[in-house]
Amino acid sequence: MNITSIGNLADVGKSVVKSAIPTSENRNATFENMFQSAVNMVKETNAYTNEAEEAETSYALGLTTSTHDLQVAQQKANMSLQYTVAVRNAVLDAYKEIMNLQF
Amino acid sequence: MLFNVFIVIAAAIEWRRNMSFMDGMNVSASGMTAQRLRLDIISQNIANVNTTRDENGNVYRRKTVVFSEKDVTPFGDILMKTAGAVGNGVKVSQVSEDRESALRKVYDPSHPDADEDGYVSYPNVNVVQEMTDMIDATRSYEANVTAFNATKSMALKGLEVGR
Amino acid sequence: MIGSNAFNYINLIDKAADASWKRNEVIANNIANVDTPGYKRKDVQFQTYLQSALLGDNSLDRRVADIDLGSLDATVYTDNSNLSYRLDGNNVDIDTESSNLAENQIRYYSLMDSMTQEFSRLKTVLTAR
Repeated sequence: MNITSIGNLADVGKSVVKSAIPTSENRNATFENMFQSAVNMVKETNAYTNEAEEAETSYALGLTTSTHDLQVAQQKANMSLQYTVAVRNAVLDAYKEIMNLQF
Repeated sequence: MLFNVFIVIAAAIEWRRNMSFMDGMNVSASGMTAQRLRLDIISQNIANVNTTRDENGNVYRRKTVVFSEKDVTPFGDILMKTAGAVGNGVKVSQVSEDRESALRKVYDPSHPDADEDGYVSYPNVNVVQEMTDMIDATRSYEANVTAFNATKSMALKGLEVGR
Repeated sequence: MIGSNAFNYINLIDKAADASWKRNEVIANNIANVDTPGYKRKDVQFQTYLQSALLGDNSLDRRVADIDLGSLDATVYTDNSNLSYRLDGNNVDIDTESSNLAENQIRYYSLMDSMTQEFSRLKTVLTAR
């Protein structure tokens, strides 16, 4: 066993402790990522819903003649909406659970 | 925004021109109409197989139909951005008389329509030929009906995606 | 999240269904024009495009994700082969067209079914507790 490796261990310990304590930059980065992905999800749901409505309108106008395109757009919009609502419910549940923690 | 208005107006014009919605069904319908007209002409030929004098005083001549492909409207082509036109079905471009096959001449001087040699000209309708044509037309008509049903059931099946 | 790769296969099947629908229209036009003199039958080309788009050594998921769906459209071509015995220049054989019609219909039904199955798999994931 090499005695000089103990010095390295101390360095390792320092870096572990440093990353364990959430600094201000770390905290903001994770929240921002989560927030961004939530916003993206809502934007995507919005885009899918718009596409479904456009498909309905062009079908009513007679611009498209295939029914499966219409159905696929509708299903994608439904699925995306369902996913967003499910994520929202999960986040709300988690929030309530955290707020109910009594110290 | 302006482009959307353009799309709506163009679509309205196209709708009024075609008065249709499903192109595949339209095409099959045009095929059915054309074959039905062909059957009507064949029936007329068979009914008039012995008509020596029509309203103009001439002997009846066998009638035939000439089919031609319906043109794809170029406006719709540009609007739908179709790569290669699918085609719009068939139409009967004209009903013409068969002036090439010879009339049937029968020697019968006592007939009121006999010419100076005593020969009566009967129509150039061959009943066996007409019967064969009738079977062919019926078969084509049924094929068009099958295509129509296929289009319809495919469209209905497309509506069931995700159920 | 959901839009990143979840709908890739569905989009692909959608494109194949579009090609199948177009082929149905083309076959209907062929059948309607079975007695038109000088008419040459038309058909639709799609599977060659799909095959060339799916070439590669990666896994299927990766290859499907990399497909450019905008350029994967079916095209209509005119079949000028003159193997028919007809004198009026028309090369439509009504029996061939009828069997193509049936085959295409079955293909469309299968694609619709596959799409429904994909959606129900996604739904299962969403509604599982």
